[in-house]
Amino acid sequence: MSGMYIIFLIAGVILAMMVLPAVLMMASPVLEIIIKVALAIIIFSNIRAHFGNNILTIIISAVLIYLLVIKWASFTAAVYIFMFLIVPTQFASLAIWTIGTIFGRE
Amino acid sequence: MVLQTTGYLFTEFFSDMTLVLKIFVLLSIWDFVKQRIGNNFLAAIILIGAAWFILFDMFWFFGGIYILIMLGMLGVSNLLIDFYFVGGGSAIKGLLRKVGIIRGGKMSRPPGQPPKIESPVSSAVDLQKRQQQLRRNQSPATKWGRR
Repeated sequence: MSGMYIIFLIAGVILAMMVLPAVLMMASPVLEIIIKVALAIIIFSNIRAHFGNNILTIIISAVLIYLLVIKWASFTAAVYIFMFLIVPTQFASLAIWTIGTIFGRE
Repeated sequence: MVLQTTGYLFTEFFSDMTLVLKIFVLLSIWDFVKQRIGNNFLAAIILIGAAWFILFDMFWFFGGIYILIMLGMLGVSNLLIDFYFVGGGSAIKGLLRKVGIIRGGKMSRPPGQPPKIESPVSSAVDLQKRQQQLRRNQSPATKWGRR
């Protein structure tokens, strides 16, 4: 049982980081627009890198932008924060290491 | 009413995310075929065949595989390893014991024997505690060396 609370603490910290953009989007309409535009640009550039400058890029980007940016923006922002900011920059490992060092074991 | 609305939302979300996942899988197939075969008729045939098989016939299998590969490529496995090392196994074991997946209490050892090091060092605090424990368990002969 010892140390079990650390699991919930770490999960809580990572969840809080993931939920942060959704909270910011609810708090401020300007931030909501900025985050949505950033997500749309990321999706469009990603699709254009695959298909090039043609009509297929526009169609697929439109579908993805409607679903991910307009319909489920909070989810997309949370996933983006987790998969492209928290994990690749090793910020989660840093948070885990810090919490483990501060609270220790037993 | 609330349950119905929640169920509807979940179904809608699941179907939307399935479509998004299918589009990303299609992008991966497209890249794979274009890189290896190029822009010709054979590439189009293989693309259509692979897309039909992966996206419509066996998507229940390839969708999960695609998610696992993406998570692995982005380094989520490192996160899990870090997560395990923080607890040194004890936190995970405690959770599993509470849920009922594993049974038993703390590991017992014979009296007088030093505790086994059962997991890698997870933090500076852990390292310091282990060093203190080892120092306490050392006999004078081994502590000062043989003469």
